[in-house]
Amino acid sequence: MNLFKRKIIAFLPILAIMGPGIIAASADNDAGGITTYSVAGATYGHSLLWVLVFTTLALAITQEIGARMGLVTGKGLASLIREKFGIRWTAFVMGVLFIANLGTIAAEFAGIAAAFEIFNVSKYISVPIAVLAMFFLVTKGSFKRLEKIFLLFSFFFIAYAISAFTLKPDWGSAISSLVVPSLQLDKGYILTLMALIGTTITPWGQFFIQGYVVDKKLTKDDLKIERGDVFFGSFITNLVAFFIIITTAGALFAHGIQISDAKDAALALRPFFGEFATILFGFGLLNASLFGAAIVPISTSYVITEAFGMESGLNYSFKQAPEFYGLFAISLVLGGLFVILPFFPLLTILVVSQAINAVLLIPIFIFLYLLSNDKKILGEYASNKVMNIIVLLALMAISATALIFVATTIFPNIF
Amino acid sequence: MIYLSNLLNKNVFFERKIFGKMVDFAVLESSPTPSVSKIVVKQNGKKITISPSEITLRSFGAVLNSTKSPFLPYDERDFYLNEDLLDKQVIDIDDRRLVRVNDVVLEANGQLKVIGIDIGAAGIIRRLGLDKLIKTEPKIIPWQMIEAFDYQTGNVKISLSQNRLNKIHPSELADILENLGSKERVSIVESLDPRSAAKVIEETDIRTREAILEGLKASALGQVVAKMHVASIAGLFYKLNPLRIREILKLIGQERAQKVERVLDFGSETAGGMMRTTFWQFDGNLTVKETYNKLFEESPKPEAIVVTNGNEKLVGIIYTKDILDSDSLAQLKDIVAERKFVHPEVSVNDLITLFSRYNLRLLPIVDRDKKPIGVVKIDNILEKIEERTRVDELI
Repeated sequence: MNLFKRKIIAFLPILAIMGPGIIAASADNDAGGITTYSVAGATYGHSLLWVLVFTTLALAITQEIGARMGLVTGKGLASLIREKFGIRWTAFVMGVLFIANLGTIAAEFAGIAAAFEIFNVSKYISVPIAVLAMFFLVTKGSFKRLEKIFLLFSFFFIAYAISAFTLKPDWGSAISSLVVPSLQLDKGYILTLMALIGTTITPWGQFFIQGYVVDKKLTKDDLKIERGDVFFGSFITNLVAFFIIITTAGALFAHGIQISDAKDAALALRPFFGEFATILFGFGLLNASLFGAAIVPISTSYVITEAFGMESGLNYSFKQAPEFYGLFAISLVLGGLFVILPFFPLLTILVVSQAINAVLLIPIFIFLYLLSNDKKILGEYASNKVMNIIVLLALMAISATALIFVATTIFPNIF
Repeated sequence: MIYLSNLLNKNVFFERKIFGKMVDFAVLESSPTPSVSKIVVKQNGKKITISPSEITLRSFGAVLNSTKSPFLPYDERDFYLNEDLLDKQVIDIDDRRLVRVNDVVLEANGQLKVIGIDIGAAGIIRRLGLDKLIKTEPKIIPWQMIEAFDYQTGNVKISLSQNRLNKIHPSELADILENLGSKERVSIVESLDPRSAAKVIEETDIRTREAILEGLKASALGQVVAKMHVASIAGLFYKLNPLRIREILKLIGQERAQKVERVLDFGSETAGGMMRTTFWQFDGNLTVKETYNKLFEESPKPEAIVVTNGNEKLVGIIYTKDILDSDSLAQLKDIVAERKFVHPEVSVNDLITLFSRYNLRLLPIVDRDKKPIGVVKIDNILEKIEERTRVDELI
């Protein structure tokens, strides 16, 4: 057995205890994520770093709420909304989720297309193949194994950390940008800011973490471990974001190189880190996109069928659960189509979908807030004041950013 | 049939003025056919409960007859259809199916009664107000199939199980089916396993039976008719659409189709027309011990066994319970309990007389060579008698 294999096997026990929090957080660093971070660093240097502190905190607290509600009730978020607020609100939330997820799925395929373009493969070939491959890998293969493989390859993100250090960036400036918020009232800046929020804290991620906890049959006794898992996951996901921003800021922003997507970033980084790094960046992007493309569509099917009380799960046959597989197929195909159709440039899909996610997060946050304070549902596990304040602050911040964005779109000369 | 969603949030009028809104209905959930015990009305943001006898349901809402009887405060401990049942999970223990209560089906026949829950997409569409645009069929589970409510964490889980299904007597389920609309009937029959479905169909009255067999999907029809008795299929022969009959005959296979034809030849008012063609037949040379071993594995055990000699000619019948009392080395042919038999041409009236005179439980039917071709059981005789009394009542 060669050294490489032995090393991978040494990792396996760690993967076995990897909790839902890490998986959800890693899947958050998907195509949209990497692109948004790259663009943020290349276009605005260190000036958006402070957002990461905010998103880490908000992600940790909302994921904790999701995990806690899953542990205590044994039910998914969709179930709780349905049982508490009835069918109309459920239909509304599911509509929101479906739109948000379609955007995210499109972003994943855009990421796949971009990654393959680094290796000179046309998107008209890569995307249809990826759509088919995802459908069969998820429905016919073992989803859990697939997930572990993607998670394992997430370690490729370490390439960004190494690159960040080799650039010898101005760490002082980085740290001060991290703690001192600054705001530019410019449309692109606001859009990128929103995308940063929307790519980290996602509607689908909120449903995913709760569903995953329920699926793993974790109970109240696991709450402490699960909290640690969720907080650690939130930290890691934003640490990766931090290194990507530092890397692109140091290499591209400092030299005034403009990029429009993650592929550009990977290519633009070639002169600084060499051919091998480009391959690593490309591979990281591809893996992240595939991870997202596997997880988001299937999670969409799970949540919507659960909400409407239809047969749901991969252990059913196509005939037994037609809605479940139908939704999965439709999300994959629509997501792929957005990328192949000529009207939408990849960058628009990648960044705008993340910003839309942020807007659609607002109603999800409201439900999360109401449910997590419901003593009838959670009893002694209902949220405390500190949690509520953070959630409400996050909600207000996101709403305010969204309002400013809408304002700058309607009145471009407002500032 | 009324859906809960059509009643919720409807106005209650008193003396032509809006009195309040109906927001919930309390029932005693453990009853097999729970009737609404209280109607919850929201009036100026406050919930009060009114006895259903004071309220008349109309298409535009409801009318409060009088305000004389006292209104009770809302009691959280009661079981409410909207609060505790609607939108909750339905779990089928056996195949782990997880669906939701999309609507509740009620019946206003003098009393307002709960008859089932709608778990189909039709319930969602109705509640979203889209039922005018999209037509779908409800998928109704009768209340009797609900096994238990789980009050843990304040949420209600409902368990439906095949066990429970087997526990409801087919004739009870048949009664429910007779009261439902044709679409609902078919959807319930399709949700049963084929054996229970066949039993239930055989227990329904002839019109319901006809409607169900006309309405079933081809795949379900095949499985159900495979489990039905030849005589029951023959009984429907001239009632059903000829195309449907041809389809059924094809589905049950050549051998059973021929049996159906033979039963038809005898006519429904003869022993041949009503006999059951599946029965237990053992060779008379078997010892009691051997018979016991053969039956040991079987479930359900037959009530009686038809005993034949070496040429497959009838010797008599023996009741399974008697086998327990007999010498284990005795041969079946020596211990038969009854040696009576009839030919298939014998009329039903004569059969009734025979059964009643000799207190029979099972009577073999034999052909000219005295080979058994079927049996008539006391149950079949009782059915015939019931049919007759029903006819008499109608006249």
